[in-house]
Order: sequence, then structure tokens, then C-alpha cells
Amino acid sequence: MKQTINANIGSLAFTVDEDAYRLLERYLSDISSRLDSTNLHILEDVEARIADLLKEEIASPMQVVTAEMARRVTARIGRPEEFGDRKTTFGDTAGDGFERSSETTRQRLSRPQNDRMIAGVCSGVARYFEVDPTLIRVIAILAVILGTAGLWIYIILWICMPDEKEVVQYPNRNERR
Amino acid sequence: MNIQNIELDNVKTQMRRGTLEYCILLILSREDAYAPQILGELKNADMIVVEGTLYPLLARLKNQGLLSYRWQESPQGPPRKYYCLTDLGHEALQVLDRSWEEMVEQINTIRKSRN
Repeated sequence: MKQTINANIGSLAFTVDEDAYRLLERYLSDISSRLDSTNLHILEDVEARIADLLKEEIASPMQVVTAEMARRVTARIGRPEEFGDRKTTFGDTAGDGFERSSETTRQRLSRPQNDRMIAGVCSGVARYFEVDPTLIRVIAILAVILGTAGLWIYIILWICMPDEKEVVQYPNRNERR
Repeated sequence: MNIQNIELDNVKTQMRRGTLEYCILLILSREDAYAPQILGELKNADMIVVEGTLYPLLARLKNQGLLSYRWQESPQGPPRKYYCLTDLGHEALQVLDRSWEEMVEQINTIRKSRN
């Protein structure tokens, strides 16, 4: 049993499963991150095309759109790179018309389960700001060496930042890079 | 052998890319069409591989004032965006027609001088 989402794609109603929804959402927002503001209507065209192709994929309006179908459709339209280079940060612009859930893509400040040296503080901070964890680690070590404040900051962050187990996992976390 | 094939594919792709806008104008000069119709024709002619190529080109041609579009009710589903040539587009097409003929002629001259 799987959860499904009702999505309005190109002014047509589709029932899509969660994986398909996420895939299409990411695809459209990737494309929109490559369009400048005067060309955002391209997104409408692409969305209408996705709707057309999905309609061909499903046998009846009752049938749920699966990730497999969504993948076939996006493969036909082509990789987002076809639409140019990224102009805005991926994930910032909303695909218009394609209703989004309340799920946010912004990471919470938390300590990742994997990729930790001591408690995962540096790794969590790095992920939050989307920078290389090594950079944060170097800064942290310098801060500890140069003064005692560094150590205290680390300990405070350790206490304040929740362990990742306690926060919601975002399935597409690692695919953003 | 393999590498040669890849390079040739690239050359072929580039050749098609260069004439794609001309083809779009040609298709639209016969009758107004919505994107999937244009796609169908370009795909039949092996001019494009993935559909996404078309949309940025349509947008560019529209921004240059060669195309415009109108919404038209469709018998099934939401209204469709029909693209059509503007007067400027028709003029541009005439210019491109001439340069296509010139190009074919010149290439043929080069091809013939091969022997």
C-alpha cells in the first residue's frame, strides 16, 4: 500500500504516487532554475507536455501515475540541461501551477548520522550552509587552537543541534548536490 | 572506430541544431500548430531527439518577435497554445529560405569539386 497525491499538472488532475510526485517536482524546479524570468512560460509548456504524455501513460483517469511512468515521460522531454545552465539556486523557484506540498527543502540544523568526526556538528553546519564539511572542520579546529571559545561553541552546538534520528528525514537530501 | 562514430554523431547533431529554427518556421508557415504537433514532425524528420530542445527555441523565436501564440480550446482537456508566424516571422523565413538555397548550392559545389 502506498500513499498517493492529487496533483494538478498542466490544468489536468492526476493521481500520482509519492515517488512520482517528488520526481516530477524536482524535474520542474530544476528546469525552472535554468530559465530567466522572461522565459518562465516555458515551464507552462513543459508542464502541459508532461500532462499530455502522462495521459498517454495511464489507461484510465483512475490509474495512479508511478515513478516509472514519470521517469519515462521526463526521459522523453530530456534532461533539464536542455533548458540551459542554472540561473538560480536549484530548489528556490516554485514550479508554478504544479501545487507543492508543505514540505520544505531547507535543511534543519541537525547532526547527520553518517559523516561525523566527533559528534557531527561540523558536518551539520556545513550541510546547513551547503559548504564542504572539511572547511568547517578546519575553521573549528583553528578556533579551538586559537582560543577556548571555539571549544565552547562546539560543545554548545553539540547540545543544541538535535541528533538526526530525531528530525524528519528528507529523502532527496543527498541528491541536491 | 567507436570514437569516430561519437564525433560524427556530434557533427550530425550540430548540423541539425543549426537548421532547427528554420524548420520550426517552415512548419509554422504552413499552418498554426501547438507544440506536440511541431514535435511530432521534427521527430519524424529525426531533427530532434529529446522534446525539451524545442521549448527554449520556441521561446527564443517568440522573444525575437518571429512567432506569437494564441490559446485555443481543445476538444479534450485544457486549452492549447497554438503558435503562429508573425509578419516578421514570414519575412525572416524568406531570408532563411534564400540562405538555405545558397548554402546547399555552395556545399554542392564543394562536393562536386571533390572528384
